[in-house]
Amino acid sequence: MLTGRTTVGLAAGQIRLVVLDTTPPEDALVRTALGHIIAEPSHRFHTWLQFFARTALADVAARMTAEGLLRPPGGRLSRRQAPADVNVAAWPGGRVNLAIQRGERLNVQDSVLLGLLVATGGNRLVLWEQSPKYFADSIAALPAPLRELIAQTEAAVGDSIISRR
Amino acid sequence: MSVTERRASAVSAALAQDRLGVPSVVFFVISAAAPLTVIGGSVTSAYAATGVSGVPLAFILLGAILGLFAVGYVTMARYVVNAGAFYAYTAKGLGRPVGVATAWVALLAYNALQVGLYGMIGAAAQQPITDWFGSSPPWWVIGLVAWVLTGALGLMRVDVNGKVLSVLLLTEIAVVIVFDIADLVNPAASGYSLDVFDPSNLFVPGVGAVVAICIASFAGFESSVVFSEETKDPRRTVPIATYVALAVISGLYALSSWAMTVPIGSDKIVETSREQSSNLLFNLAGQHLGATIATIGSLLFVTSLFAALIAFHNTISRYVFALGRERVLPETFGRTSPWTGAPINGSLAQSVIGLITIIVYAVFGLDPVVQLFFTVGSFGGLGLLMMLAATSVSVLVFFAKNPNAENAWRTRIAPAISSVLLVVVITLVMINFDTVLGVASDSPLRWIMPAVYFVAMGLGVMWGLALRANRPKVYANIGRGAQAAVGGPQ
Repeated sequence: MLTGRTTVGLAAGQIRLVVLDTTPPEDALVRTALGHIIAEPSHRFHTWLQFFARTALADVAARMTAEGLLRPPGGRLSRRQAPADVNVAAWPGGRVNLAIQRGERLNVQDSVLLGLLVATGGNRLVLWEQSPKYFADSIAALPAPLRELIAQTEAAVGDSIISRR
Repeated sequence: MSVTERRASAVSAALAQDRLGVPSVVFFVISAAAPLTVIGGSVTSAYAATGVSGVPLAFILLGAILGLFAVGYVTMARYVVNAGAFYAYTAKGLGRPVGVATAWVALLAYNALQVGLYGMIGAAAQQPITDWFGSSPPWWVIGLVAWVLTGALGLMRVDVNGKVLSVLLLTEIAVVIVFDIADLVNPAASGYSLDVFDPSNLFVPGVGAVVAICIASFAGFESSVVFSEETKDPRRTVPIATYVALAVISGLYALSSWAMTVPIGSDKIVETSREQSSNLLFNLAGQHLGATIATIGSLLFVTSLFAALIAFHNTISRYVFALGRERVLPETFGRTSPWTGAPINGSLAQSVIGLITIIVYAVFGLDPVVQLFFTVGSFGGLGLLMMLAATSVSVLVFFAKNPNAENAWRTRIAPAISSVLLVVVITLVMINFDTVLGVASDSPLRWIMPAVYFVAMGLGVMWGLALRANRPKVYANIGRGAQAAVGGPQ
């Protein structure tokens, strides 16, 4: 969605993903995901979040390890992976924090990051200042498909808490 | 979607691996009901506090009424987002202000059911503690320990783990059945009697109080529909699981509450329950099976109560969380702990209510079993009945308003019969509310307590109307739970 390959559309009264550009992306993980979406266009947005959530943690960690952002898992005791460079890891959060502090507008990528942090409750861990108005304004300035992504994420997080097994 | 496409779908296949079948859903539902809590606690206090011996028949009749109710309930569940909450149904069927009113009643009723358990766990743990240490602290000290543990586990988002719960539940059921058999092979001198199933022993003054505490024993069965989206075949799995769970629960309760009367004699059950209270079940086991088995039973009774405390605590904090997500309650209640994902403020609010109750009962020296567990629990039962009746009517109205392909039995006949029966039952409970409270029949309290629910409904409707006037976006999302975050079609 961030690379402009998919968007959000309404079909049969459901919110679904619509593929705009079917050329295979370079990134292997994005390519696999896009392949799934092209193969089965009839699923709701909601279903895709559930589907990708099953493997997202492992997939993204593997990609970050391959790109040298995370140290390979070596420890026997902990399954947590440490960042290869603490400064690189802290930079995106730092960017958002500085912008909030200075009252500057975020670019699209950082606004999405902020929106997802707010949707998952992670803002309370990562952000120094909790400014509901700034959060709402940044998310409202995003294009509609990205706003939908954030809203669907918030709903999925909420549902997982309400109907916990 | 064609059949071949469905079969080939990698996405559906992957998600289906995590899906639940009938046995898992039945398990979740029964575990929320905590069988030993009901048989050890509710049944004996029903005999003792109401003086009515027809308790086993009440379980059968209520099981049947709930079965009828469930026909429409599970049918409508497929059309409802946030299907585990009764207010989602009334918001859709009777309008959003009625939805808010139902939510307020639910918060009152579930909290009443939860805090009542603190009284029983305090009283129930005294016996084993005395056996081991020679003396026991007062009930409220034990209640406070249970409160701390429940609150802490709630904040840590530790649900009683599925496996732990399964082991506890199966052991509980096994213990109950062994106790039943021991009771049945040791009849009183008067022999076997089925008097307790005779309607003339149920429909006597006090019947409403029996109904209130018995219906509270079924609380939690409504959660089956939460799993609609997570089951292998939502059209079959959830309905079948709901009916099976209701049949198992009401059958087990009826059988056990009858078995308890066999060694005592149905004419003496009320008197004996009054003397021995919640120890009755375990004293009988002690006589027939020996002290060790009785001790195991009374320990399991405590763990059963504890599991029920946690289950209700989590139900309430999720309810509050859903209302916070809708912004019907302040936004802060829709927040989760970033470390554990627990619905943190909903959990804290429930804990505050529990603490206040324990302190008030301790300070005023009130009885933990009769005045807390039985009275407050039955008060919760009345609220549950009101929610059931309102939901049943909502099912009728919803299917009358919305064209659908469901048959008349599911959308009209069963919901109509269950609505009428539930209203009759509510009337019985209201008439006998003096027995529920244990007050004289001319005490104003018997009217004040049920009136609390009507005040809550009035305030709920007013709050709903205020939202419609001032915050139409919030109003539009009433009853949608976490899906309130997503605008547009459902």
